[in-house]
Amino acid sequence: MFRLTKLLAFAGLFAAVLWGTSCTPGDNGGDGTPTPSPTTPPVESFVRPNIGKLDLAGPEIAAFRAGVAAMQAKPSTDPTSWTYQANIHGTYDAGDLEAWDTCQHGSFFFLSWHRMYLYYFERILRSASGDPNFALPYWDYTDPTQRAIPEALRNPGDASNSLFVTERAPGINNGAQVPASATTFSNAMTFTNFASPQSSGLSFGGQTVPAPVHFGGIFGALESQPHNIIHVLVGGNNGWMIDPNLAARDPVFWLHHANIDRLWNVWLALGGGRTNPTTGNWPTQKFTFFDENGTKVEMTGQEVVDSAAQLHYTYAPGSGDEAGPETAVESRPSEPFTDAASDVVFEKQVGTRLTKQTKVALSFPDAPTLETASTKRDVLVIEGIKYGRPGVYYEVYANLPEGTAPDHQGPHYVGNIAVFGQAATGAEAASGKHLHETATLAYDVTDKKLGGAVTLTFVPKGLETTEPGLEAALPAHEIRFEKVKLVRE
Amino acid sequence: MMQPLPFLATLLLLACQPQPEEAITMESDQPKAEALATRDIDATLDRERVTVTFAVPKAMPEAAPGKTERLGLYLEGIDAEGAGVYFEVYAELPEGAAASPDSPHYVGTLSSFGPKGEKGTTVGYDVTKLVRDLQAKGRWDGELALTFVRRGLLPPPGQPAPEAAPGKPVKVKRVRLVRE
Repeated sequence: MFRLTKLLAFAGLFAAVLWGTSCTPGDNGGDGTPTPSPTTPPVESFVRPNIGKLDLAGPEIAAFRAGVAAMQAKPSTDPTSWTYQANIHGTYDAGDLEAWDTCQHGSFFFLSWHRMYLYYFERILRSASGDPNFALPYWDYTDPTQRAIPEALRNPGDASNSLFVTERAPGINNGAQVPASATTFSNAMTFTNFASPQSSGLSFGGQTVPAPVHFGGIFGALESQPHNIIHVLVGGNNGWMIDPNLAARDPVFWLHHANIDRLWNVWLALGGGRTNPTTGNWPTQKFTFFDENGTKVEMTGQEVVDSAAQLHYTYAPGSGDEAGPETAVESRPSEPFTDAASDVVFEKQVGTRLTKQTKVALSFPDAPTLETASTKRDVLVIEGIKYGRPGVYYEVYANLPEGTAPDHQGPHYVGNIAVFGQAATGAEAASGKHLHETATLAYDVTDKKLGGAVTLTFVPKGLETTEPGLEAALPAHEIRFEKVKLVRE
Repeated sequence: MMQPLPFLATLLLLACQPQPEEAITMESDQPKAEALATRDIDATLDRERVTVTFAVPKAMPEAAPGKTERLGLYLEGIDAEGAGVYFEVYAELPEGAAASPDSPHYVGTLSSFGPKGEKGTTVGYDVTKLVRDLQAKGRWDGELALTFVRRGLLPPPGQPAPEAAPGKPVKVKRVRLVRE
């Protein structure tokens, strides 16, 4: 009886110690100190700016540089230091300090983990910068004017610029550009499922995994492109960005991942069934970070599903925010729309042959404009397309002003004539008389509000090349089409 | 007589025991993907353009009514360490045809980001529409040709391409076609 009393007393004392600390399942304070819930976020809301729109000499860039410099001056053992924060992603450094080497790749934790990572990094950077209004910029490389890494990160190109590093791909610090196809995200946006079953890569956000995995081996669509490609191109053969254990040491890493995070919001805004996971371990798996005070914190997926409401930040406008070809769910030429109950606005037998290396314009005067309140749509139809020697495709523009450079992201862009098929060979090719297949292409041009004099411009496009000294010459080609019509239906 | 404090403390101790975790239903509990073709291609992408051809089932029936299907093409065992480039991937791209992401033959891009010494990563593509389009045009004939077109950094406008040590070739070990 006495021993039982002592046992119960010991158990009670032990329980009292537990009660005084924490008894919430899952806590891993390790040393017994409390592990708080994510620290109270700042009251204000922040707008992460598009770095391409910032003044190089303005306060935002100055604060960015000051904050990074301050973090870089701290010892690597300080959780708010540049090195410690970079090592959370991955590192070769000895020491294996708390949260080092914990980045999530190749699984559906990729986006949520990096959102948490950037959130606390930004708070640390804001504090270090001394600017309470600082927000982490993003690099919108899909914008054709931002294909080089932001100038603030390469100019000045010396140690006086805390955003400059030499460990990048050759030429990138001199303004070399990432190709357009590396920056597109339209494929990722076509997926309506955030996650896919384990071992499947057919999803926006990545495969389901039963537990956190540093590198899951199979990439979701957004991680594959543009995330992986940008790392490859900026890092080159042996720069920091190509290596997960060094990538976060390059300031461009944070701007790149801010853009990836932003594209997650773009995807959600598309709707159509696009939602974040609510089952399994995605919402509740905890990950460890440090706040601006160096206090260890934990965060879960369900705490980061709404960056505006929960984390108090949004993004300044960028690529994907406006509906356009880049965010179109279907980017391939489509079959003609229904012919039922349609009015032909104009129709012209043209028998046009497109062989020239320059643009060709067709004019259609006196087309009545679609009324604003009308529920009908305008469809531009090109019929009887025949081609002999493929090798190019054509961008089609409506009412492209004289002297204006064709821009497939501009308001006059209609779509492409992209033809395919086996090329003619031998005598047939030499004669140029053998034309293959006949196609009809249709484009919804309702938003173009065509009317009056309509001019269509066809701009031939060929292969881009990175080979020095090799001009992007267009191969010989011939495309004909018989008729162009505008249908209102 | 049992002391009240140890008794209460014991109750607290019992109350603070970890609760059994809820059973987690994973999406992997769903039916597995149906493997349609798995081929070791051991491709070395060491040139501007590389085409690899492999056998695929001639018969590719559509999903049963009421069931959605997704055809996935997976490139596996990717070793891209030190490459510094990426590849655009095309299916059945005609000889001499322009390689452009606007092409109906465009599948996607190939690159990889992972730790050094990574044994091989995997990239997957939804090729449902591509396969059905090829079938509709009578060009799904039991062999599928994938063309890899190398892409890298472009020089700034008006400047020559930078000098760069050639990177290591990218290698792809295997291709797999599945129905998910």
